[in-house]
Amino acid sequence: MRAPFYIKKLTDSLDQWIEAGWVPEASRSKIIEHAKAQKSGTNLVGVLAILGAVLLGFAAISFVASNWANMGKMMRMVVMLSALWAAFGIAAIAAWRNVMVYAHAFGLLGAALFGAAIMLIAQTFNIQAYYPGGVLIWFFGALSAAIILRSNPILIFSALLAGLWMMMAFEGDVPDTTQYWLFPLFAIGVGFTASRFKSIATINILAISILLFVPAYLVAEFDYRPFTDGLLLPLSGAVFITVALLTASLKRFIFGSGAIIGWMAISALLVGFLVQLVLADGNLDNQRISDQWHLHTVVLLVLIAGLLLWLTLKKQMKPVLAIGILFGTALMAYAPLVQAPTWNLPIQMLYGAAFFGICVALLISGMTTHKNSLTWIGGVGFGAQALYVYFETFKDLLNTSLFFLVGGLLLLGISLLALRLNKQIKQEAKS
Amino acid sequence: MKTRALSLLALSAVLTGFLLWMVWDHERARSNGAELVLDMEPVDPRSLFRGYYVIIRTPLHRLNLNEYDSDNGFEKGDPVFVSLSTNQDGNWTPQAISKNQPQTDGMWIQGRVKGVNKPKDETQWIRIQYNIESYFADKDSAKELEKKIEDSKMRIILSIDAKGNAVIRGLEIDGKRLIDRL
Repeated sequence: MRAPFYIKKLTDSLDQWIEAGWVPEASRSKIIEHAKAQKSGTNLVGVLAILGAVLLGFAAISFVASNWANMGKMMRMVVMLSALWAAFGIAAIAAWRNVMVYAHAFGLLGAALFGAAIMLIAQTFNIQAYYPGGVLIWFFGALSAAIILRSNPILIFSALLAGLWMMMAFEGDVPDTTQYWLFPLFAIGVGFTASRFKSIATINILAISILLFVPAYLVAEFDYRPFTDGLLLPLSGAVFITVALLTASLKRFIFGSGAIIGWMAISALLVGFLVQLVLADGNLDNQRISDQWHLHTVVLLVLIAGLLLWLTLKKQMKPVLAIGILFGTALMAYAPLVQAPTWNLPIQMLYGAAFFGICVALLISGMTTHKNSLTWIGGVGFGAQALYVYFETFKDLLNTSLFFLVGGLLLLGISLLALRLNKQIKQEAKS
Repeated sequence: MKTRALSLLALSAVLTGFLLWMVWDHERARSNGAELVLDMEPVDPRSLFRGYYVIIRTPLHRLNLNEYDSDNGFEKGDPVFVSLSTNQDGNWTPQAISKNQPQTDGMWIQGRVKGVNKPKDETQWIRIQYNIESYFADKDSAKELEKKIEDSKMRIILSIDAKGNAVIRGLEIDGKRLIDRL
């Protein structure tokens, strides 16, 4: 529902427009009713209430922290439980009176205080267990509050806790595999709730968590080496592409599919760019290229090919783009395996050209379909690639100032080229 | 809206119940288990306490498998059971290290393998986590405890349940027992 001051402003403006003869008087009540029924985009009252609740939370925690040492154990329990009940109590009263802005704000405060209570009780009574377990329970508490209050802010907080728990579980001193199956279940559960609440911010957080989950899972379960690994990087990229295509295939059923596809596509492009560093290094240990890696890669390529075929048959993707994605993924996966010195340079050049081609395709696709996100991704990828090629080619030949001068001119030239291309496409579209 | 308000109050009750259960379950484990008193080892003072807790290290945290009747092939994350017996001085020392729960009536403690080291000298060491690695205290107390550990005047008192799980019951400082209470 729109804020009252927005409705008042609209009413005042409508009266002026009716007086000026721009809007028929008969439409006045219909326009106001329509505006009242609309959901507010950014609700200033809600933002202020949530910020206020967060500050109250900080005030409570600072007060408790400064007096903590002087309190007995039972007194600490009473303080923590009272704070929890106060926050949820105010939220319940606000929900009862249908002032949902305050219900969400104090519900969020209560969810935060529940986590603080878990940690502080564990500290006070020297309770030690598998450490991320506390965050897991916190997540369940916060998610329950989000569902009860139908609150987007608390749902966003829950999604952050799910991601935090997953990373803590992977980072733990003693390995635990709960997150392998539990995190995907959380992702589905939170994603389903986010689709009911229409919370795009939650979907974005989930997508980022999935991006972190994939390489962490591959390292923990299959013992791939982290960071710039010639085996882990392309495999992660192939998983990102698979998730993007799967989401595209099911986009009618998935809320926020565009955000998920966007995050996966950007990450796959970044991985594609980073694979060049492995190619340039050329030191991939042959002994680490296992049957397991080949199996994973082939399964993913078959999956990607199947999804691309499905999308092409459904006319949701052009055949040229589908072939480009399949070729690009296969090149990304197998290029680092080429160890023969004579073939390394041609492979690097072929890879670089393919990367340029994909970036240009994204640029043109963004310009023709007026999707600024695609234009930006393609443009940034193209610029990064141009700088990389330039750096690799001239880093030892030019002195520093000349190096940056030529680099700057190169990027300006590319931007002018893109500008001309954009104009040309627009003229063609007009004619 | 009334349903939401009432549901939220019900959720508060459930969460409060969980927090109270945390305390009750810990108190039960601390009171009912068999008692085990271990020496504490000084560790690098720079990492002795983070924030306001002391890092607990005992002789059971790093064991040489060759010195005891041990199973082989431990890997990071494996459960590990350390059987204990008292020596001539009355201190608890390891006797056997196994992957499965011992079928004897003696004392044993359960942990998880945190890491395996195989130096070149044929020895095989495992590092074990028992979930007793931190003892929370306020800033001043933590500093005093750190000094006591360095002077070897402090021992840790554990409570061990029937499955070998350990919780901290308290500390023994200069022979004086300080048992944690509610």
